[in-house]
Amino acid sequence: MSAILECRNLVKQYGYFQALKGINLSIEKGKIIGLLGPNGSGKSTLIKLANGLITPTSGEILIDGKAPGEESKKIVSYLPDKNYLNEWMTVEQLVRFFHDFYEDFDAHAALEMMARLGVRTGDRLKNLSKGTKEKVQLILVMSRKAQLYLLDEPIGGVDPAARDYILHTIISNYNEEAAVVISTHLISDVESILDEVIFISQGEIVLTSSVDDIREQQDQSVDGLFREVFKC
Amino acid sequence: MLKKLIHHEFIATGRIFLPLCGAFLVMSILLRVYTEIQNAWSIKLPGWLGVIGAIPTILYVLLFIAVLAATVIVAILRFYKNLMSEEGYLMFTLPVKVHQLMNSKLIVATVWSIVSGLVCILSIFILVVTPDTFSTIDYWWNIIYTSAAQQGLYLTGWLAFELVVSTLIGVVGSLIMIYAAIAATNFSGNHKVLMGIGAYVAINIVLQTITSIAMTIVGVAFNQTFSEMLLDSRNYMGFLDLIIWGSCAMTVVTSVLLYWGTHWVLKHKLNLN
Repeated sequence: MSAILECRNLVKQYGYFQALKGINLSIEKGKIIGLLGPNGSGKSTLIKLANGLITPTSGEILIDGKAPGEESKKIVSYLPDKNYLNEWMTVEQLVRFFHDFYEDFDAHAALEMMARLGVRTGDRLKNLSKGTKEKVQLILVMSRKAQLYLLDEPIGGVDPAARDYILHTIISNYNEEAAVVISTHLISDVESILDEVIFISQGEIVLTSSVDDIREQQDQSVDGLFREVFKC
Repeated sequence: MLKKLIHHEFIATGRIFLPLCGAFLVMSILLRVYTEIQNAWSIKLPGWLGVIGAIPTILYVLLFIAVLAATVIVAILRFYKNLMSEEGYLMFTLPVKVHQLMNSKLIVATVWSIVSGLVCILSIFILVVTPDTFSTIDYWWNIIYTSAAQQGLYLTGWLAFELVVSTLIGVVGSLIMIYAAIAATNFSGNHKVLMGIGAYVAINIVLQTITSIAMTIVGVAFNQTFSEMLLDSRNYMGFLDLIIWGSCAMTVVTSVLLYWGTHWVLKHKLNLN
């Protein structure tokens, strides 16, 4: 199967600081992958490169064989690690916005999820709590039938109950034809839904493995292995 | 996709412009009514009451300034905030071309500039219009037209057309210059505002220099200095044509270059923090 996301000697430098040091990576469809690493390890940089929000210093990053561009954006659904939606817009306006621009967006499913969570669609985003805003963002992103979901810290700022809901949303909206990359350092929370993990540290990939292999061969949880690899 | 972008850009900017222009026109009507009442009843407010009496005029002037300033401020904020800050994470991950993002902002900002200009004219009209206004305009127009014609300056429809076209090109050119300066902030880490202002000043200095050189060349070509040409009434019409179309051509050329540069930065050198 051809890779939906591929990196070849990918380097990203900010001034003298090298955020990514020649990453080589291949991600295929049909899996939920954890991009795991401590703060500042290069997780967000990698995801931003895949979305074309920053440009590589050298090397290349390909989405379905093509550099990030208009075509790749049709098949990638991205959740940034910050509030990126227009604060003055109502939830309903945001749903319409996504519906207008993404052919694969299911507005009906999005509104249904919003209703189930008790989000009032007439409310402006700026009047919502931080946690509710994150849920709105995630619902919009997961209501697309994309081929690659790039979720940057999707559970970073929400309470444990909301975390469960978010993970449930990810699993129930995910399809076999897509790959989901979840970047986080809250491993124990996401461990149960992951098929594969990529450990990234100081701009380098230090481990790529299936979760089953970690459990069987190393006889420990992903969280345990993470704590061992990234011991301070 | 451009149509959809323009649609959403109108929604985003209309929520500022429509109430502002509406408030301005309502204020114009109120001020007119207030002035009419004052005149009709020959009311003269004494002392501190006179200050209160000036409030409608002050409000009107402030709204006038706000309408004009809003066209520039909203154009800057929409480009910077919507594309170069957090909101850029959404806009640059939409399946649209970079030039469509730029064009949607440019078209909508141009429309609002025209609308606010027309609203200002309409407002002045509201303030001064009387049953005699048109005959007064006609009277003054005839005087101005005749005296200008005596000086070799013919205020024809063609000249009006030239002025409209050059104003439009000027508005679009100014917006592109602002966008180019904002795109330059992409190369700055922590001093984005400083970088933007610096880039804007630098672009202006370069353009001023080129304009001076062009004027000198034209002067040499006609074997006259610019001021001499200006004083020579035989040249007025040709001279005006030269100035208008010359400056239009220059604005078009620089705008195309700046547009291309902005597009290149946003497409190939984007670095959103």
